Formats: sequence, structure tokens, C-alpha cells
Amino acid sequence: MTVSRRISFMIIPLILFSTDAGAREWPDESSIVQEPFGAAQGDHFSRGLSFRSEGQRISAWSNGEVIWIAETENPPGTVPGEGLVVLEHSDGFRSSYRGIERRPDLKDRVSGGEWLGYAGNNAWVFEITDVERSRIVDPISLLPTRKDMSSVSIGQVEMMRGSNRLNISDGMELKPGRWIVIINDVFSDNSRAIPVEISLFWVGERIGSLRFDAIAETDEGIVMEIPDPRSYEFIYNSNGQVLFRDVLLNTGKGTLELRMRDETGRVITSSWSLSVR
Amino acid sequence: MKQRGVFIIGLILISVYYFLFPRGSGKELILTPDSLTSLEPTESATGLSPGRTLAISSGNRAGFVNDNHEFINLYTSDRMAIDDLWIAVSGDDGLDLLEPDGRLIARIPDSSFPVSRNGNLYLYRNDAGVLSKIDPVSGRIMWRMEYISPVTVLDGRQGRTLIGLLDGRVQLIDDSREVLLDYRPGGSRVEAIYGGALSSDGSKIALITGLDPQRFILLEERKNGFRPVAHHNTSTDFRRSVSICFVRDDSQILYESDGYVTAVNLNGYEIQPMELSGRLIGWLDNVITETLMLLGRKDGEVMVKMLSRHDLTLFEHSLPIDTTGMLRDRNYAIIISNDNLGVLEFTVQ
Repeated sequence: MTVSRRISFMIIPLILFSTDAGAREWPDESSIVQEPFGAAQGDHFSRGLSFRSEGQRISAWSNGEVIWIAETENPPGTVPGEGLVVLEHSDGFRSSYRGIERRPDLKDRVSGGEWLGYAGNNAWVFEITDVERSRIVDPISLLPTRKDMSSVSIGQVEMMRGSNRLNISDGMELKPGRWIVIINDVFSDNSRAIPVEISLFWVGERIGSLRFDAIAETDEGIVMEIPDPRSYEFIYNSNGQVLFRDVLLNTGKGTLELRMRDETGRVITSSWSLSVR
Repeated sequence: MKQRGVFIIGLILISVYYFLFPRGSGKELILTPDSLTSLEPTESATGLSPGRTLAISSGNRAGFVNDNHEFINLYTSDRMAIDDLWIAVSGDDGLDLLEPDGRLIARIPDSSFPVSRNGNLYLYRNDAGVLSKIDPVSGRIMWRMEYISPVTVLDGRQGRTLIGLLDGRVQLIDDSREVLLDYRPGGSRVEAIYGGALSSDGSKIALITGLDPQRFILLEERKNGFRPVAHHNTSTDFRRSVSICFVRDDSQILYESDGYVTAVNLNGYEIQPMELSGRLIGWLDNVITETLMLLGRKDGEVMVKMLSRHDLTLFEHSLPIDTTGMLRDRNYAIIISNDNLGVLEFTVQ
């Protein structure tokens, strides 16, 4: 066997595999995300990207096989589904399109970008499951980057201890002990890039980190892997504000710094000099 | 001795002939249209009604009829579940659990989809993967489960709940939330659960699983838990919910196949096809003793078919295209469409 033939034997399967995986595309033409993955949605995590429904066409994220269709009208005996189409992809992912009215002539196999149906009456939701790892993952990490989005902004940050709740400001004086840091409006601005990780530093040391990239199922319920599994109630309060619990501030002066990394990889920082005594 | 042998063989042959070709009894099945009721709220469709009630549901309408098949209550909502003893109506503020006469049993602060299965009430929130079981007598939440995968199968019998998931798992949970079974059938290129049913005593689980191949699996409870006792490829390729049920006092399982229904006899696991046009959308046992009624939908046609104990077709008839299901009430079969209830009375003379 010649060298060129050997190389072609090695390359052809790679090409075939990459062709089968297909180019990944945004399933909603607008790409305007109403609610991102991991955001507070009532009393649970948002499991995907939520788009506004305006009767627009919804298309396949990548080449795949239709494995589940639940109609908008649920036949007797079926579990309510609100119009759900699920595709299985060759790379171990399944993509779900919830709240859509599927096209009547939908075939069993679809190509990336091929339309699956129309957005229904309410917001429709796009989810991706990593089947092999049994996780729902953040679709934003598997979609083409939205380079034109302006960077994230850090909303109002509050410090809370017991009933004492204060808006954080530079030069602020706080009592030593354990505090809860509350961050407002993390996911509220859909005209900006989506935050994917929030980290908190005290005197240069990372004291907390929230990474919104995968949701898993445990015996105790659904958790965000941060990477340690954390429940919804641990990350959010009843108003849907993001919390860093148990932040220990010892006597002295220091800088509290909040870093937010967005979907494009940019990092935005806010910091406050605090006096603890 | 030889004569005795011939006599015994002859007796056996006569017995076999008798059972294979039973004589006509001279009895005739009489089918009489009893009433046709519009599925519309009327003035008479309100207020208290003593006695027995029967739950009727079609599309976004559900209510109760009395012994004469007259509506005593009718509700309209996209999120409802109904049983003969209660109705659960979901709204933006939560779920109202009501008695047939409209009296409030409980208000539950949860606006999930209510689902009714054999007297059991469940709430399913598909955007959060949360499934709860509710005690319909008190409105108390009995248990709550959270899944990352969509729930594709839900059935409840004898304090047990069967849950099938699109990721290919099956769980059986009792009323104390103990997981009695956590099973992944596998064996197919695509793992998923497409259909499932519990036997009336909760000891058998019938499943339609996977793609390529799609498979039928029967699990039976033994001393050391549930074990697969029968399985076969179904030669189907459904990518949606597949109808499957236990019928004839749990002696037979029916499931939907391409253009017909497959029957699996639990005695020996023998498989036999039953002709039925299109998708199996309903079944009724014993409207007349040992008969089975099947409802099938195909394109622009809904067909009802009644089979004898030996699967002989007693009658077959087309129904209005908007027929959604059927119910048994004593010796009546109630055919439910989007707009009407057609009540048929069966007698044998």
C-alpha cells in the first residue's frame, strides 16, 4: 500500500465523521436569546436557550436523526409535551426543540440548518443533552460564537448578613464574619453577551466560582455542576438573584473582586476596597 | 385394548374439534344507539347531582355525566386531568382540585400539567423535568422526582408509578418515593422508551423501547425483583409515543404496530397480529363479556372494531374523524368526539 493511500485511508473516515457531525448552526434565525441556560426560571434552572416565538422557522442545530416527536395536541394516554422534537446526533449529543409546531413532512434524518417546524405560541426552548455523560449542557458553548454582542455588565452587588443588607460600594466598612454576596440582574440583559462563569475573589484569592455549563440529575434532584454539584436553592434566592454564600471576611482591609466571563471569553471585573472591623 | 386406544384418540379428536370450532349459541349481539350528547356547557350541566358520575374528557373539555349520560359539569381548559372522583384544572395561579360537583378539594400552588392515570393524579412540568404525585383526596404532594430527560411514559396502578424516559431509562416508584426498579433495557442503537404500561396488579411492566431495533420487553416481578421474561423485535420504527396496554384481565398485551395491533398472550408469550386500520387510539375490555373493542385512526378515518374472545370480528364500523376515545360504562360504550358523546348500548339476545 502506498503512503498516499494509507494517508487517504486515515483521512477519509475523519472527513466522513466531520461531515456527519455537520456544521453547527443557531436553530433560531434571530439568535436573540430571551433566557439563557442556567438562569433562574421560577424555582428551577433554565435548561436551554429560550427564544421569543414569532412564528419563525426553527432549524436543526446539526445533522441528526429524529428520535422523538410529541405533538402540540397530546393524544389521550400520552404525557403532555407542548410540541417537542428531539434529534440524536452522531457525536453523542441530543438536541431538543420544545414549544414548536413541527413541519408535517419532517423526515427521520435531517441536515444541520434544515427546518424542523415553526415557533409555537409561547417562547420556544433549545436544549442540548450530552447523552454519554447524562448531562444537559449549555448550548451556547456548542454554537457559533456571537462575536458582535456587547460584553456583559455587572449589576448591583449587595452584602447580606442576617437582616442586614447593604449595597456594596468602594470604601465600605463591614463587620467581620460570614456574609452572603448577592448579585443582581446576572442574566437580565438579552442584548448583551451571556455570562457563563462568575468568580469572587477576596484579597486576591478566589473564594467562590459559579460556572453555568452543565445540569445533572442526582438522587436529591437537579443540580448545576459548578463543578461541585449545587442545587437551585443554593445558587439562587427566591427573587432569582445569584448568591455566593458563606463568604468569610476577616478583620483587615482588602479588595473584593467580582469577575464575570461571557460566552465570547471576555472577562469583566468589578472590585471594591472594603474595610472589615 | 386396540379398541380402547381408538376410542381415546377419537375422544381427544372430538374434544379438539369442539374447542377449535365452537357451535353457535344462537345468541345474537344487539347494538342499540342510546343517546347523543353535545359536549357543550348547558344550563342543566351545572349543580349538584347525587349518585354515580362518569368522567368524560375530549381535547380541552372535560366533565362528568350522570347515570343517564347527561352532563352535570363541564370545564374548558388546556391543562386538565379528570377521573370519576375528581377533576384537576390548572391555571396561572395554580391547580384547582375539584369534586365532580364542583366543590374544591384543594388548591395547589403549581401550574404544571395535571395527568390522570387509573385514579392517580400527577403533575408534570416538562420545562423543568419535574414529576409529582398528588393525593387526589387531600391535594397533598406524595412525592416529587426531577429528571433531565423528557418523561415519555407514565402509568400508575396499585400505589406504583411507571415512568419511562427518553434517555432509555424506566423507573418504578411506590407511593413512599422508593424506587422499586431502575432499569435500562438497552439492546438498540438509539436508547429511548416509547411506550409502557403496568398490569392492573402492578406486577408486570410492558415496554416498547429503542430504535434500530424497536423492541417489546415484558418484565415480571419475582421474589428478587423485576426480571425480563419476554422480549422481541417489533419491526416498527415509531419515533413518538406508542400505545401499549394490558387487556383481558392482564392475560394479553396489545401494542401498536404498523397498520395493525400486535397481541402478546402472557400464557406462552405467543404473538399474533390483529387487523386494525392505523394508529391504536383506544381500547375497551368487556363491554360485553370477553369482548374487546379497539379504536384505530388512520389519515381521514377512525374505525371501531369489536372482537370476540377468539378474536373473531363481531363488528367493525367507521366513526366521525374527530373521535378522540371511548369509555365503558356498564354495558354501554361511550364514543367521545370533539363535539359529542355517542352512547351505544350492547345487549345479547
